[in-house]
Amino acid sequence: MLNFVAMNTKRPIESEDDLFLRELMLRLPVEKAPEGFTAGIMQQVYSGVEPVADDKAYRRQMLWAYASLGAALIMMLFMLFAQWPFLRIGFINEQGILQKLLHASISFFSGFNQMIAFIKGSSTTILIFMSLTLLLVLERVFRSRAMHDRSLMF
Amino acid sequence: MNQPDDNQIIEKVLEGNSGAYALIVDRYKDLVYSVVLKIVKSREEAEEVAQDTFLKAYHALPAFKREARFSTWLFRIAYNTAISRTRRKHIETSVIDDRLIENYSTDDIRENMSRIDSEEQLRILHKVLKTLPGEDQMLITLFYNNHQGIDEIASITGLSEANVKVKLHRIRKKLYAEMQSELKADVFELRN
Repeated sequence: MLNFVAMNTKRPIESEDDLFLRELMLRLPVEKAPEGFTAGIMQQVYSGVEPVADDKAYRRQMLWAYASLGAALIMMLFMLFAQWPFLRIGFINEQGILQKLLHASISFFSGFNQMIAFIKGSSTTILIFMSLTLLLVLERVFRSRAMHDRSLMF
Repeated sequence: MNQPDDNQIIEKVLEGNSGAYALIVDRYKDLVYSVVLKIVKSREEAEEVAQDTFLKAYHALPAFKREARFSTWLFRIAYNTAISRTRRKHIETSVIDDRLIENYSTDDIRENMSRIDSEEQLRILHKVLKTLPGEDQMLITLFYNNHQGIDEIASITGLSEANVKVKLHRIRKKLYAEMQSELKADVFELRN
């Protein structure tokens, strides 16, 4: 049965079994940090190096961040350019798909002119949203180069 | 001459004396290294995690509120860094067979252990500890070797205090059960 009386949360358990194990455990040699460990840390402290973000966790976070950003951009494109020829191609049960793709590709490039015209004539809300997206991407690029692959935002 | 305590050193560091941080690193490097080694297993990785821990702690020193002991705060950083390195969200502990662990008397084990020489005791303990998952080894090291209380271990690992108590209790039982079988094996070897 658990010895809850002895299991004070502030102080260690000190039952007879515990004392025995504690004495044994304290006799075990502790693993030593490698030589020069302190000097290595202090060198980094003096040189102002920031702790490195955990690579795997960081990469996972970034993957989600970029996936979300990508999804947001695609949604925005669908909303803004619903009239683009690509979006009007029915790929299933259609004849002459290649021909349609070719026409769509040509229209796609000419669509950039329309896009710029559209942006110029867009509402302030859309302009602000696009600017913020652009800033987000720039921030990411800037931080990844200047701050040891760390970002303020992610 | 008396060694300055952790808070005095932290004060000095926060006043701009970065060099004082070396005292903190020297004081805790072995404990942090041995704890993270139990989680990440490889020595190279343990060194990296321990380094990261001290650098993170250094940069986060202004945010250390002194509500807990500095060592508890430092071990929490070490634990989180090591766990995130292993891509796990929480600790995994061993599943212990109750039939196995109830089948001994701790008095007998203590008595039998006291009969063998000190080196053999340590050999058995070392072997028995290796049968535990790394996280269990870490819990028991924090408790016995690093003198962390149950509330502090709960704060370090994110487990509830009740959970820590139960885990420590079961780990102790497992250790005794393994010691018992090691002692039996020793006796068997001597007889043959």
